[in-house]
Amino acid sequence: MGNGPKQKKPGARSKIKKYKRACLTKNRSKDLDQIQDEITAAISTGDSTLTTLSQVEFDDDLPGGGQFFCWQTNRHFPDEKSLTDHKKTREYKRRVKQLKEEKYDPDWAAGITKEKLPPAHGDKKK
Amino acid sequence: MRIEKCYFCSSPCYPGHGMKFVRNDSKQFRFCRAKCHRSFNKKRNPRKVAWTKAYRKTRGKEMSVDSTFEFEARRNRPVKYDRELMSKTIQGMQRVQEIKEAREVDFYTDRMKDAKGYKKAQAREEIAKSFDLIQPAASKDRVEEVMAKFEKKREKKANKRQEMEVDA
Repeated sequence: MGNGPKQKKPGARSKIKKYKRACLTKNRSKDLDQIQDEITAAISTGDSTLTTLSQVEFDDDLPGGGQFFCWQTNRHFPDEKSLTDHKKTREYKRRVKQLKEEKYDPDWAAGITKEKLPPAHGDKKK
Repeated sequence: MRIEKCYFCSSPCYPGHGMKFVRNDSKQFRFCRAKCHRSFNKKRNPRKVAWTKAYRKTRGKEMSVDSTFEFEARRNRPVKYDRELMSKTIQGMQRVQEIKEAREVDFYTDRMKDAKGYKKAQAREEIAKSFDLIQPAASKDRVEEVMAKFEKKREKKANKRQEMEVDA
């Protein structure tokens, strides 16, 4: 300990393409549109300040018990100080800016509209 | 069978081509080729990558609002086969495509209307800036003189045009 960050030696599986690919998809970080969905869901439930997004139940396996969570970048921190430091970084600020942008709609880009149809099984309200 | 659209570049994905990625929240992403898939994995924003449809539409380089787009929709309800309806839809599709293409041409010409003027103005600016490249000996003393000539020519042309318009 105390030697600063050391680069980890590549393990035995580093050359197995199949394993590497599986790890990449398994550990895939959250996409922007997923976080944007979370924001809209939180607002629709009446949480306009988005405080519920950073509230995580105590979990011993997570750094800091999961109590210092940055929902914008989806990262856990060991203590309050590292969380506040993280919020000063360029990475965090960039992410906040990206989240404010409008959600990407592939249908709009492809020029596809939504079909408007009458209900298939009549009006259910009757 | 369905010809899907690429999530990243919006080009058509024919059956047997490209790949589909299913995220762990069961959302599906279709990609036309490895280039698009890689860009998606790198978490690039399609609206900021110059070769995508999304980029061209956000910058106003292509039509984004038009009534011809209403015909292309993801129809999830099957329609009972009807020979007459089938032939009519095919005819309709061709007609819509014709109209769409004509409108795209109109959009392009409208967008490029002022381009010639901009290009000329840019060239003129460049000449004024790096005048000593053209005539090193004369260099800076003659810049104003030569540029004044340009202006005179331009005025003459404009006057002529005005006269022609008056005559007409």
